[in-house]
Amino acid sequence: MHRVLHAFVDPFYFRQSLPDIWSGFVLNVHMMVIAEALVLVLALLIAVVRGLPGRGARPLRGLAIVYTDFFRGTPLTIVAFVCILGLPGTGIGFLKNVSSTALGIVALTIVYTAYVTEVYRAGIESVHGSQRMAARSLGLSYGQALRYVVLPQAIRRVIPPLLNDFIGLQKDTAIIGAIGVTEAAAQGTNFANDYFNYTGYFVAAVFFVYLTIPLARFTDHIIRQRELRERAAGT
Amino acid sequence: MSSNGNGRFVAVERVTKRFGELEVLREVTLEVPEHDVVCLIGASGSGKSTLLRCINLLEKVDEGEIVVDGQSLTGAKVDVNALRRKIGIVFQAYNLFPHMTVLQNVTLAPRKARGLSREEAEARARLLLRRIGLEEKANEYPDRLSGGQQQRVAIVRALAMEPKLMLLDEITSALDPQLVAEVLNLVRELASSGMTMIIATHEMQFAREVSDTICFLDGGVIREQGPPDQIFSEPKEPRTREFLARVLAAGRM
Amino acid sequence: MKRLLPALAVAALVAVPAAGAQRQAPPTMHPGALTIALNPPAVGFQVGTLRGNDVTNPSGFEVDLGKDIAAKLGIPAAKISWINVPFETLFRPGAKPFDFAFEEATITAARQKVVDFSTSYFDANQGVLLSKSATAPHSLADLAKMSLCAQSATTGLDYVQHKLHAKQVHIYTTTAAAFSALQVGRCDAFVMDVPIVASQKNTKPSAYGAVAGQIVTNEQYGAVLSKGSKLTPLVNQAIQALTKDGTIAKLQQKWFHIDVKAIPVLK
Repeated sequence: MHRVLHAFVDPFYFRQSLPDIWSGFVLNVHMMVIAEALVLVLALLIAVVRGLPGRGARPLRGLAIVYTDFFRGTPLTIVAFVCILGLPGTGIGFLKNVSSTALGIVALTIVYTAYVTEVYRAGIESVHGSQRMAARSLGLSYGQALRYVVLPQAIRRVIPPLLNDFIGLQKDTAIIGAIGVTEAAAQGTNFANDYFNYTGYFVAAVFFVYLTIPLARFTDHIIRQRELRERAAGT
Repeated sequence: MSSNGNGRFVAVERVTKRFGELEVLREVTLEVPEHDVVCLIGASGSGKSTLLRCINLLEKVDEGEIVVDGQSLTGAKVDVNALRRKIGIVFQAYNLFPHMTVLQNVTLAPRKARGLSREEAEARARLLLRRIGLEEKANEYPDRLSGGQQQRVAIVRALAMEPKLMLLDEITSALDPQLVAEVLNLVRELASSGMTMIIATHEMQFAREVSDTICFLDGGVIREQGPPDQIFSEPKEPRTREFLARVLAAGRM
Repeated sequence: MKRLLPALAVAALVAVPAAGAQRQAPPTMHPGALTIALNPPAVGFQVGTLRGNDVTNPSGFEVDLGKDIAAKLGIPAAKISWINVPFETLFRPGAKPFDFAFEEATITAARQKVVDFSTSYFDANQGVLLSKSATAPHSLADLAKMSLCAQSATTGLDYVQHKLHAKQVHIYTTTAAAFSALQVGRCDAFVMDVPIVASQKNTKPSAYGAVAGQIVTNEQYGAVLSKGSKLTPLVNQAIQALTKDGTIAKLQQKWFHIDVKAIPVLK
């Protein structure tokens, strides 16, 4: 037992691995921040497309459905390999100069947009139809009703599952480590292969957890604020 | 209250509406001269709400025609948004926007649908709110207001668009009894200022006072139409009499 | 006396094979059978189809060597199970799911602390394979400035990180991924054992640039066994015998068509 503890949580190896793990973690943060920003915007777009009414929008809605079904069902690892090793091989000129980290961000964005689209959609559908009805009755267009009345309410409602998905995204940046981006987990592996000690992994885990705690508390804060304010009277 | 109608402002002709197999409105025909107030009475499910919603295009009619202010609602190529800016509707459930303050609720449509500047919209909104004595609530969120206050804000929100026609769908049915009066007072004011209105209501006394015409709906059909005195004192149709007798017995008259 | 002699003869006839059988059963995981770990593909050394955890239809230098060692241990080829064990996991402490592993593993002091190695069966240096668009380095100093690919847990990675101090290193967990990365130009050069990169270049000449050179690291491959395995001395005996009688040299000639001496040395 003592030996197991030292294999994973050894103070000497903790200090030894810290600089390399940190330099790797900087890559994780880089990937997660950019991917999160992209996902927030793209997923909202696709969720709106998904809800467009009318016959003319049917092909667009269909595309949105295919996209979310496919990328929610495909493991991130596969998408990451295709993006990082597959895309540059297609011969499309400029892709040669795109870094593996950037392609990793693309993979993360593609997969997580699919998840978050469904979260937004659930939020939009949870806003009572009477809200849209009231907005349209005032003469606001479909787009205006969506933008000023439905979406603000929808987004506020889904902040907890949104942040949940983002915590997932943060951890999944580690998957990109298998494909040439030496982020924190890959640095941990490197350390383990050199020193036959796994404390590097523990250090990486500490960094990850340290990042998700503020996010979790922030979520709690938002929920509490919303509860205090929006106990809407009447449906 | 009643005035010399300047022609038919609202004309509903032989409107039929079905939900699946069920005929919710059948061959409904109704005329509302400008500045007149028409009250729709009848049991729940008799089609009053559906009729109102057809008039502001929240529902599409299956057969028949509706013309408002010279514009047909039932033809092809209707600019729905433009039409809705002329017609205000207030619902039983007030439907205020909970994520916006009272002021923002009232200024949203004038700013975005009418294109008013923020200052202009707010000035008009404050005027309206002052009229109903709720100006100091301008920066509150709806959940801080009583039901009666919320409903009056909902009415004012619709008025901010300067509609030519107001549709009121049982706007006091969800309110505590002591809050009903303030809302009905506001509607009386509107009526005396000459607003053309179609009101669905259970408040018989109020209906008798404020309307030029009463329509009794029963099972999707207008059984009887006429001036309030006639309908309430000497109803012709047996169903009308039945209905009024029940209402009387329930102490709502 | 007359009846005793035949009886003694029969006893002797029975005793000798019996004693011989006891002497020959080596201490493998499953008595009478052998479990050998591979990690294909490595051109020349081993290829095979992966089915779950097993390698079916294995062939290559290390496969033939494995069969020859099995024969020396008295185990027929039909009784060998070939399993796939990822290279990365070879040197993790703990019990091994195999009797021994052939994965072009270099013998190092650090690794010897956690596993047993057999005597060496192959000598190799590190090799440098270029991508199609890379410019050839003329020295190790040039190489250190290029963007490099390497495989996790290999001596090649150890070399570029800790001896060459290269600035840009892309690490991949499998050889196949690293070769793919080189092919699509994620890096300019892949540093990996010479026979592996040279053989791969022979197999797919149009996918890569030239073999730019070799780096003298004097590595020796050994089979990997659990630390303190009872099989280690037996395997060593077998390899020494096969080296002495020229079998290993013949296998090398059969499977490798590269002239390592012709590859320039980078300094």
